[in-house]
Amino acid sequence: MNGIRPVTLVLDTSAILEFTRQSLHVGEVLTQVDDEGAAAGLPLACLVEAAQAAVDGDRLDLLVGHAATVVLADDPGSWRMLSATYTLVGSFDSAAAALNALDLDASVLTRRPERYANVDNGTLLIALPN
Amino acid sequence: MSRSPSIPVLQSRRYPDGMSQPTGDVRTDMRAMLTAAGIEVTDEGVERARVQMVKVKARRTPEKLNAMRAKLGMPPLPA
Repeated sequence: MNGIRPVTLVLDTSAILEFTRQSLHVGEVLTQVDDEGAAAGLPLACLVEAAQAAVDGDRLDLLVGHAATVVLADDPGSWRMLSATYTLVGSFDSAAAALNALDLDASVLTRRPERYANVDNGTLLIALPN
Repeated sequence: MSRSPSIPVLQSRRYPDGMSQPTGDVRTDMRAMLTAAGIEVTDEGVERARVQMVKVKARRTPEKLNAMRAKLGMPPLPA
């Protein structure tokens, strides 16, 4: 956890899973975030979802344990916004990723850009190659 | 001479298949953490990521950001 670094990037569930699958692209983006003294946000809902599908939990521990990542918990007071976002993106974890990113003026790293089609106006997503 | 039971036996951390032993602190050194996870980045790849991030950020004007926030019921960012 790091309370000083600005969060400039949010990893959604698909990006976290890609990290556990040793994605070079995710590694490069994380390195760039770290090099600029920033942090990558890991929404709690995305971590929980990724943990269900991740074959290798040790890699999740490595990701969460690094100083350039921070776990983002949702503010209970934002439940209506989360609900509205859920309606647009179709899942709680994607809603958490989008809402956290917009709250922090950060980008979302994802392999599922189509999920955010009803929210993104071309300025939110960094899409991972398939 | 036998080892005192009060002295803990130090063991190196074991990494599962596909993961490598890092040379730095995996909690503070990004490249060491990625190496431990089995990901070897290059300077060229990191530069590509930087360019990609700058492009996305440059497109995100306050007006476009606030338009997305409004869609989700979020207040506009302070000017």
